[in-house]
Order: sequence, then C-alpha cells, then structure tokens
Amino acid sequence: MMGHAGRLDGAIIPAERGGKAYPATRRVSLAVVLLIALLCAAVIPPFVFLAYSSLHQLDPTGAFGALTFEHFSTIFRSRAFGSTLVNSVAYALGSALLALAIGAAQAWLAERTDAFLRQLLYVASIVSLGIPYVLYIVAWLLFLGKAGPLNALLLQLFGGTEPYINVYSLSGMIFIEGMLWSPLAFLLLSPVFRNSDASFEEAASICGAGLLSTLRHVTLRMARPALLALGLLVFIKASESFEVPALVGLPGSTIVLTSTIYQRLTLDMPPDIGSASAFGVLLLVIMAILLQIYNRVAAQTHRYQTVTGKGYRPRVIRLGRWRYAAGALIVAIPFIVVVVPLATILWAALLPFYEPLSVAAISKLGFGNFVQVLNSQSFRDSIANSLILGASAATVVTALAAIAGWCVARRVAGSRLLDLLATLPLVFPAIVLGLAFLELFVHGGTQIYGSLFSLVIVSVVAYIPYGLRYAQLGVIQIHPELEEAAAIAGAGHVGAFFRIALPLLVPAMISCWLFVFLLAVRAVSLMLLVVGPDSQVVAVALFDFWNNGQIGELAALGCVWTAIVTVFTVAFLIVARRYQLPIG
Amino acid sequence: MKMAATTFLLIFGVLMTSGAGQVAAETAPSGDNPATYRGPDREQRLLEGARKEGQVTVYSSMIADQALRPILNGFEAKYPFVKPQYVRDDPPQQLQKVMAEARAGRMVVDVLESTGLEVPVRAAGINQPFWSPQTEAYTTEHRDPEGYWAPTRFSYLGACYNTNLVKPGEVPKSFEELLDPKWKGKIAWSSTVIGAMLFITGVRNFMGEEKALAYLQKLAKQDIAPIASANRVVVDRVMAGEYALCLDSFLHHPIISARKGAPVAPLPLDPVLTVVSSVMLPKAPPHPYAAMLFIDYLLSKDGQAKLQSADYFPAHPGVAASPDLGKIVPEKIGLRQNFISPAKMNADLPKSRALYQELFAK
Repeated sequence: MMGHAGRLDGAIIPAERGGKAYPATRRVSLAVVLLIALLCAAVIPPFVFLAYSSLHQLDPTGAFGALTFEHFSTIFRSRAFGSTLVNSVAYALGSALLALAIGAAQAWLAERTDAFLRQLLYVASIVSLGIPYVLYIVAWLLFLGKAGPLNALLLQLFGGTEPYINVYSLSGMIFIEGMLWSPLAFLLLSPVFRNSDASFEEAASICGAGLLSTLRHVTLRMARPALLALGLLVFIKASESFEVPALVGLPGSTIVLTSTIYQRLTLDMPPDIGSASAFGVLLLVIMAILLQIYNRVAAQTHRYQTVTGKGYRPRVIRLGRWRYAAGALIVAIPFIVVVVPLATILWAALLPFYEPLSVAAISKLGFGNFVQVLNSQSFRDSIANSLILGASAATVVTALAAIAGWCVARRVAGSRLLDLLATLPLVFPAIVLGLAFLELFVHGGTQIYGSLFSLVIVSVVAYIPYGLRYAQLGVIQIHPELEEAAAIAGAGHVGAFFRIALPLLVPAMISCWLFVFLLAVRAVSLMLLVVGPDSQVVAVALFDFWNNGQIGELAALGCVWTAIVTVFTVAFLIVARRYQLPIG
Repeated sequence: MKMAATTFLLIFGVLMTSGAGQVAAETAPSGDNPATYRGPDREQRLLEGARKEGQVTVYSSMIADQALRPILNGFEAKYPFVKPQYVRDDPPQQLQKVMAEARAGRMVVDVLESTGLEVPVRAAGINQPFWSPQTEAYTTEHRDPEGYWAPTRFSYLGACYNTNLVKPGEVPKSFEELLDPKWKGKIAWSSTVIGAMLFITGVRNFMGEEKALAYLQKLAKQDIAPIASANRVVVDRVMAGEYALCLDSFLHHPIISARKGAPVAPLPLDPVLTVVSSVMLPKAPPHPYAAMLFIDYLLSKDGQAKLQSADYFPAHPGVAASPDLGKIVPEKIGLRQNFISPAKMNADLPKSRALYQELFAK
C-alpha cells in the first residue's frame, strides 16, 4: 500500500507515477477501440468545422462559398490586432499575478501562522466557488461603478466631481478576474504551504533571518515551482476567459481576443462567422503553445518536494504582535472577496430598479424581483435545465473518464491515443468551442441544434480532460498489485477493472462528478452560442439579463441559484477533503 | 494511428452525408399555407391548427418586463391552449440566432419581432410573406407591399438625462447644445447597430452628409462612453448616476422608469428620430398555425392595446399612445419626425458604422 502511504503526507512518489505496464499485452481491447471511436466522433469534428469556416467565404444565406485566406489576412493587416494582443497579455498576466498574490497570502496565513480566525478563509473560498461568474462580475461592476458606493465614498473624502475609479478599464478587468480566481489559488496553494518542510525555515531563523526575510528567501522560494505553475494556469484561464472581457472590457473598449470573437458574431450584421472562426483558430494555436509550456513547468514542480519519509512537521510561525494585524487581514480578505459582492447583489435584488446605496432607497426595498423569478415558468425551466445539464454531463464524463483514466494509467495498448484525444479539448477556449460546435450543429445535418442534448455533448467534450485527470490520479493511488492478484486468479482486463479498480475508484469519481457538475452549471461562454429557447440555462440567462437591463431579476435569480450551487459545492469539498483529493 | 484515422473518417463521413438531408423542409407552397391563406374559414383553421400545436415561440427585442410579457400574457389569456415562450435579444443577437437556425435547418422561432432586421433577414432567405386581415388597418407607408413584414410599434429615439445630475436650467435643448464642453465624459450611448449607428444615420439623414460629418467630429470630442448593450441598459446607467446624459434612448423607457421613481427624464431633440419595428414569419416555423394566430393578435387592436398600456407606441392607427407618452410624440409637442425606414436603416448602416469606427471607436 505504498500509494496510500505516499498520499497521506501529500507527495506523489515518482515511481508510482506511470504505474506498471500491467499485464503487458499489446492486444488492443474492444473497449479501447470503442472509446477511441467515441472520442474521435466527439472531439475531432469541432476542430474540422472551425478550421473549415475560417477558410471559406460565407454568403448572406450562411452557406459556405469559395476557399479563402482573407479572414486571416484581414486580421493580420488590421491595426487593432496588435493592441488586442497587447491587451490580452496584459489582462491575463495582471489577473494571474493578482490571484497569486491574494491566494498565496491567504494560504500562508491559514497554513503557516497562528493568526486568528484562519478557518474563515476556507468558508469564504467555498462560498465564492458557488457564485456564478456573471453574478460576481455584475456585483463588482455595481460596487466599483461610477455611481457605486466606493466612488461615492472617495468623492466624499477627497472632494471633486469626477469619479476616481473607472471600472470599465484594463485595470478593472484585471481586478475582477484576479478576484475571481483568488479563492481557487488559495485552495490550491494551501497544501503547498502546509506540506513544505519547516526545518529549512528553522535553519534560516537560527542563522538570524527575521520573519520577512525567511518568508522571502525560504518559504516563497520553496513554493516557487508551485506558484509558477499556478500562475501559468490562471494566465491560461484568463486568456481564454470571456465573461470579464465581455462585461467589463467591451463597454470600456478594452478588446481582447475572446471578446473579439463575440463581437464579430453579434455586433456585426450579418454575423461575420469567417472572421470569428479565424480568430478562434489563432486562439487555439496560442492555447496549444501555452499548455505545452504549462505541462513542462508542472512536470518540474515535484523537483522541490521536501516531504520525505523522515520526520516531518510543518511549523506554525508565531506572529507575536503581528497576530492582530494578520487577524484583521483574515477578516478583510473574505469581506472583499465574498461579502461585498454578495451584499451588492442582495441590494440590487431587493430594489425595483437599481440605484446607489442611500437612505431614501431603503423605503423601496421589497421582494418583487424574487416573486417574479420564482413565479416565472421560464426561470424555473432554466434552473431545471441547468441541473439536468450539470448532472448528465457529470455522469457521462465520469463514466468515460473512469475507463479512459484506468486505461491510460495502466498503459494498456492504445492508451497514448486515448490520452491525446481526451486531453485535446483543453486547447479550446470555451467561447471557441461554443463557436465550433455551433458550426458543427448548423452544418452537420443533425437536428439537435438548440436542444438540451446538444448542450450535454458540448459540456462532455469540454470537461472530459478534467475528468480524465481525476480518474488518473485516482488510479495512480491504487497499486497495480491488486489487479495483478485478480489476473492471477483468472480475471481479464475487464473483470479486473470492474471488480477491483472501479470500487476503489468510487471516491475519486464522486469528486470528479461534482467538479464537472460545478463547471457545467457555471459555464456561460461555452453555452452562449448554442443555447436555444427550449434549453435556456441559468448562467446564460444571467448574462442575457445584464445585456437587457433586467438587473433586479438577474440579482434575484442569482441569489436563488447561488444558494443551490453552494449546497453542491459544500458536498464536493466534504468528499474531496475526506479522500484528500486535489481540488481543481 | 492508421486505425484512428480510419475510425475518424468513418464517423465523419456519416456525419457529413447525413448533412445532405438538411435542406430544410421549406414550406409547402400550396394554397393551404396558413401564412397566406385567405379563405373564409381562416380563423377556424388557425384555431384548430394552433390547438394541435399548443405552443408558440416568439423572439422579440421588446423589453421583457415592460411590454413583451404583458403581450404574451394577453395572448395566453385569449388562447389558453397555446403556451407562448419568448426569447428577448437585441437585433444583432436575434439575427445571429435565426441565421444559425435557418442554416441548421431547425427553426426554433415561430415569430420574429425586431427593429431593423427586415432587410438582412430577407436577404438570408429566412422569412416568408404572410397575410393577416389585421394588416389592412395600417397605413400603407409603414407596410411592406410584399408582405414580408408588418409594423408592430413605433419608436421615438432621443436623449435622456439624470434629473439629479442635470439641473432644470442646464438641460440641453438641441443637438448643438450637446457639444457644450461641460458634458465631456458625461454622455453615454449604446455601441450597437440600434444605438450609435442609428443615431449617426439619423444625423446624416436630416443634416446632410457634409454638416453631419462636421457635427459628428465635434461630438466625438465629448468622449462618449460606448455601452455594448441594449439602449435600455444605457438608460439604466443614467438612472444609476453613472452618466448624466444618454443620446439614444427609446424615449418611452425613461418615462416608464420615471414613473417608478427613477431620477430620469426623456429629452426629445428636434427632429425626433423615428423608426418602426416589425413582425416577421420564418419560412418553416415549427408551429405555423400558432405563429399566425400570434401575429394576428399582435397586430389586432387588443394586442396593440397591450403596447399602449405598457407605454410603448402602437403602430395601429386606431390605438393611440398612452396619455403619458403624449409629451414625446413629436407632432404633439411641435417637433418634426426624422423617419428612418427599415430599408434606409439598412442601406445607411455600412457608412454609419464606418463613421463610428473612424470617429468614436478608440
């Protein structure tokens, strides 16, 4: 049971990584062939349709015309392309640095110090995972807006007539996206700080280094590979993000690559699908390069492993008189990350039309928006659709991932191809995958465009890579000798998988299910282009509300939905914690 | 790899060939098409057909909580056996959706109600001509002679302002007064086709190209904030105090909000930009009978009366605007109309967009 011993103290022991090629047959099993065929059918067509649209003219009826390179050449010739690229990089880099800074500060305070109320950080992060992106962004837009309470306060304090903060700007985008990712950064970094060996820090302090100096030269340096990998991850996620670029960037004319795609489709009449697809292809290439770099960096992180078989205990740093300052910070961070946005949303939900915080407005508060939302059939439908979508996508992904993950971890014949196919969708930013599937559904001759079933397909393809990773990690923890024993007792591949591996995989698969569920119900940009009136989902409804000026209903539906999703998030974390599974 | 390639080609081939069957079942051109049927039993047929269909899906750009929902509720009250569904979008998103549906050969929409889409929707071959006895009541200049669309409502567009931020004495009275440097950075508009582009088309139409260009160049110095959302959202921002003025509100929106207590007022500027919105019928609606029944209702005095009580401007000559809206109907307040027909809106769009890009998009 080395696998479990390794897992308990948090390190993955390198020898366990690939598992053994057990039993070393080269015969390709039928299950693998079927799985490969299924993944091919799901993963390859979107690529083909995206590439095809980017290389063909489109006539006014939307039919494909002659082959052309014009969509690409127009992009490269346009003056705006350079600034779009610069904006994209600045936005992603800024968001990554901010998320890291906030996440790392929280992780250090929570794991390595004796500051007060450390548990509060966990509670706040968990709640924030349940807030839909659009709701979170809208909350910040209202709070930081020209007429928001912060600008009002600054004007009171410092005088003047012009608002001090313009949230519809590059820095506004970075702030909100950074905030959006900080809880996840914290949850992913806290094990890193928890598990780093304290003897290095003790040695530093014996040599006379102070608190800050130790932090800088030892603690942070040891965490550097993890910080780098996480920073890169947020960079990638921000590069492919759509919600902040659309809701914050577009109004302030700060255009990035993902928002360009949406602009081509909805601000031009008729929609410029060729150009949007060409942008999509470019973004795919960029993502492929970034992911390659990420894999390299992530592979390096274990070089800094400090948890060994030797006695190991993390040291809690006594902050002394700084303890109170740290306590204040611990209250302040969740306040900013969670309480402020939720309070703003609640305020908006209770008002008949949105207006800034004032005593006069209090008399107008009421539950009209909640009544409207809860009585409306279409809102109830969208809640039901979201739940069905999340549950179906999670079930399919988990089932596929369990089999694929086992094949990949056990290196059965054909597993390399399986791995490649199941990882491929990672290069698709959500909005591009949505566009690719739109083109597929529109031209593919299937009658499923706009149906809830089509949304399930899109989600399964988008999230299979995450499922695979969960399953692989789960399988790696199970030593092959159990299955070898089964083989000796006469069981085949299939028997060994179903009788031995699967039961042991159950906890990992439960947490995979919940993770995919949460991703699927939060997705906006993935669904935006493929959703139809019979398949409206909450996340997209919230986005539409903002664009249509129904802020009160947006806020009310958002509150109801956040409550529902938080229940699932808490369930997820309980499972993840019990089985010590990685989050994210 | 070879095996993978074969598998892929196999699956992909199946997908592609099944695509051949997609050439959508276009509507049967027989005299039975409910869209154009004029027989004496028309009403009877529509009711029977709609009863079987039991559903109608409406795409509209009317604001849902103001006008669209009341109309659908009125329709459902009259025909309880047809369940109406709606999707509210801005015209460009509506076009993106209906084009995608037409290309997929799977129309979801039964009835399309919008502003400014008459020409592109027809160019894309999405809709079909229809006849409703109700259209006869409408003025010919606001109708399509070929029956591809029928007018549903008028809209008067103009500025609006936040009554807390703009004092009574300061309110701009004309297009020229909008150029006052004191408004710099305090004005917003919607950066969409029905927002800034339509404003520019309107200015070009009444000033002439040369004067319009000079005017727009000066206006560009005011650093107008582009909001990439519906015109309604811009009014919300003015109400919230983010901006003092907006240039392109549908003038009934601020009136509706002001009645709920919002600090906002409409500001019609002479000549008042006027457009007509219209209803269209797709070629292969999933519920053709219910679609026609809904179009009949929307164009009828009953349906138009819902617009009246929602404080929208009915297109039906026999249904007047609500008394409150009197203060923005140009003829009633001594202002001229600057009417932009659907055809003109579409023809002028490319140049207006180019001007917008050149002068206003940074």
